[in-house]
Amino acid sequence: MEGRGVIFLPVFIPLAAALFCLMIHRGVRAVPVLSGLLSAGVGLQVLLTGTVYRADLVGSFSVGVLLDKNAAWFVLLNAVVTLAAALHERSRGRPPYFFVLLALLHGSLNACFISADLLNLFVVIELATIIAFLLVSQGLKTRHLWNGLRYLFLSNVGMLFFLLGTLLVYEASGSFALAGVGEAPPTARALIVAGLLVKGGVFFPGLWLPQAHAEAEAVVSALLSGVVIKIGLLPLIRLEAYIQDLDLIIRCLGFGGVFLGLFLGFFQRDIKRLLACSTISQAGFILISPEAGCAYAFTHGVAKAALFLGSGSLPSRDLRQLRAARVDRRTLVPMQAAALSIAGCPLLMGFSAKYMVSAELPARMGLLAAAASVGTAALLSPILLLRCAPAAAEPAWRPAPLGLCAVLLAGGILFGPWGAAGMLKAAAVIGAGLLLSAAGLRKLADRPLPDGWEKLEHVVGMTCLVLILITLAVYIP
Amino acid sequence: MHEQQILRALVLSVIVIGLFGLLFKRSLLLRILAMDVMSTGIVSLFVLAASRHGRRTPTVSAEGEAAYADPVLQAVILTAIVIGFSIIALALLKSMFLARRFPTLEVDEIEKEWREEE
Repeated sequence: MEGRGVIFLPVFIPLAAALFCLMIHRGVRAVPVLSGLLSAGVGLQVLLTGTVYRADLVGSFSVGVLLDKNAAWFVLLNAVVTLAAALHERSRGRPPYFFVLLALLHGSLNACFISADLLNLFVVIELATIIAFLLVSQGLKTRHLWNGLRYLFLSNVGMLFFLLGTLLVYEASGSFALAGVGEAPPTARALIVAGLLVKGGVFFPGLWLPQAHAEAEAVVSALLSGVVIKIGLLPLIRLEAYIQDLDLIIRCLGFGGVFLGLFLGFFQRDIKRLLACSTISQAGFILISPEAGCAYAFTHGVAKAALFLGSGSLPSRDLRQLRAARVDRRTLVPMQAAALSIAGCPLLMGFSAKYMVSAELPARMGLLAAAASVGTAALLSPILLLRCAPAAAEPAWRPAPLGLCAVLLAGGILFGPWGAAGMLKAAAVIGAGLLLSAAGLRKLADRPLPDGWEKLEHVVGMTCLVLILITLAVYIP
Repeated sequence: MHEQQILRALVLSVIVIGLFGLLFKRSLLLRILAMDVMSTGIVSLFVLAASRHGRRTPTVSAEGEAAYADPVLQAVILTAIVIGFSIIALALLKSMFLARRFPTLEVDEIEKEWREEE
């Protein structure tokens, strides 16, 4: 493909510009914004024209990069969320160090999305993990440090599994191609899938996620939940497309993640933990349909970033207190719009994405997905039912979440679909969710889950168990 | 071949030992070290796999082609070593900050008390 140099722009420009501006001590705050605009341009160009850029190393062992429609959705998501985070923090007058990390994260995430082989994936996922770790733990308070370390531990264990799997794939097929995973022994497939599940926050390997995303700062949570977990999901989607027998296993794990996230979410009283549990469930949703998963990941990322950014301006994190007090209209309305998008309300892009997913699922899976959608609406109903207060002068208003909602609205209007049947169904799903929540699911939040399941060793242990389970599942047929 | 299999089993057991350390050690410092043991095991496995078909450097020489070690795996693992090293360094650095408040770095103690502000 001509002009394939374009593929490297969204990776190298942010990295180089951030380091350069760091050296000359000037203009660091502009770098994330400019690189976000650049990535948005590249992503949109690929999505609109359908061009596929591909570049391979000379004499490669299938080491190469690929920017196709699937990857473009993620690059665009990365651009939108980075822009929102950068503008949000600029208005708060954040010190420049944060913007350096943000630009570096942006570049390395783009690198993750365009990597199309195991070796590149390993290197850039680790790079993104390290930068995300620096972002989580930059507060130097105990909770930031501890949650950062937990994140690093879990990611590193996952990536060690992945590396082991890479070795087995190379031994079996002599290359690092994702498609070569099909020829590898079953253990290799299980190791690679388990490693990516940890990064993607799906099912039991994703149990580190509620604490990590809830305890980080609002803007860091927005980045983590919005984009960073997607670095594990895109390779899984690609694997699903390449390898038939992994397809069913990954879909089952996706459904497991959907319902696990919902189950955990109903017991949460803390709004950020509830949002993080919803991320587990939505990450599963992305995996259940590889064709529509990328567009779904985009809408989820944008909406979740808006929710987390908004949660930083709330007076409290306790949902009960929030319900008793009222919440400033300018904070609440974007959050509710984003929650409606995740629940699949017509006119918003979440509706289009849900429609695409359910359109291509087989009937039985479609039923499960519909049940999951009702659950999602019920899970988010505490946010939907918060009450507005008139706008107050303090604290100052931050427009970034509203910008993200505008993206969702534009996408919803662009993609439709405008059929009355679909809209009625979506409205029925949300209504059923609200009813279910009112009928008693909401009371679950008063009963906290038994303590201790989030301990580091338990989460690592769960990951190992799922690894064994996947190995069994791959071996048995 | 027999020798290779014994070595491979030994290296795999190092990885499993590292994993067990990660699960069962009480101190954060020891867990970080266990993680390093695990990644060292994986590095050795790569080196072992690279030398399966030969041990010579893959350069052209007057003696003609002899069985050589796989350079690709060694290049890959060099990258992985550097990444692993930087991750261990970062983890140790941040646990130094944690050690100000929790001098023993007992994981149970940290899990119990991290929510309380200092």
